[in-house]
Amino acid sequence: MQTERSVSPRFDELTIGAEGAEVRRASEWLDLTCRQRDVPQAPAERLVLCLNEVLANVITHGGRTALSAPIRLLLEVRLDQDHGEASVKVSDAGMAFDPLSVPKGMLPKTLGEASPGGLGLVIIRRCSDRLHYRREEGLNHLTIGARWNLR
Amino acid sequence: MADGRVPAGIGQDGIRIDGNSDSCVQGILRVSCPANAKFEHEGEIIMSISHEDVGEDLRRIVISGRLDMPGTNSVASQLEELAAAPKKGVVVDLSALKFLASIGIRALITSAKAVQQRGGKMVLVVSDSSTVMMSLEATGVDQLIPVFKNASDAERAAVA
Repeated sequence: MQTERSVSPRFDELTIGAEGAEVRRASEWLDLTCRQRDVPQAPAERLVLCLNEVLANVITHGGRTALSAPIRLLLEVRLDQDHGEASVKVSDAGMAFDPLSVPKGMLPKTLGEASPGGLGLVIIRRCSDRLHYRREEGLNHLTIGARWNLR
Repeated sequence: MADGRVPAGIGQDGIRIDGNSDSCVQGILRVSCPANAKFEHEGEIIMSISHEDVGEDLRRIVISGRLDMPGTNSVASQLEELAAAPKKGVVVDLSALKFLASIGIRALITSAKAVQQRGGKMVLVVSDSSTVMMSLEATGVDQLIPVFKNASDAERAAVA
């Protein structure tokens, strides 16, 4: 039997250009849409932060093909009896890159050890509850999920 | 220019820049510097960086707005220059910052390292419940650069 909270997932979509200013537009869209879909503030903030890092990575490291094609964002908000999940699928035409294939590094213990690189992946891993990657028809599809309890 | 004012122009990512150059006077207990810059994007002010020198030992830098890709690109070089001043302590006040992405954290690490290499200390002021704190904690940077909730504690720690 379907409960009141087991509702069909809601989808929202945005297409952006692969450039820095568009990252902010994507953040504003995700923030606003999460509010419209009643996603609580904490998981919505984590999702916005992760999306920023994923898009910055595509623009900075995705190569020429990434910069010459639009990036498609698909937000899905799903509720079941015990928890909700907001997830964003980022589809880009950049070089194949599975962030899950990168070994987890140790966090630096001193400022002297700190390397300025690789922080984006650390944020994506630590601020998301679910990551899924697939390469299909020349596109990277990375899904980032943030969950919250309903009970 | 004679009055130290930089003409308004268009910076990276189409961000409008309108600011004053540094004209601090050293040796006075507290000097409010006219140096500040506001960065507008499509008519809305999104970034601001300003500073004041507190005596000879301490510089306080205040950044507001969003340190995401366009925001960081617009202030990173100015942050680096301000943190390079020969001060014992540098306080970077992020309490009015709305968002901190990894590119902004990189800029903070670069400045903190530069301050440390010349024998000084850089500390941060961050609102406890902000998403900025979430970014610092997720990357472990809150363990590398001291973080304080209020400016007076931060100033004391920076020159200790």
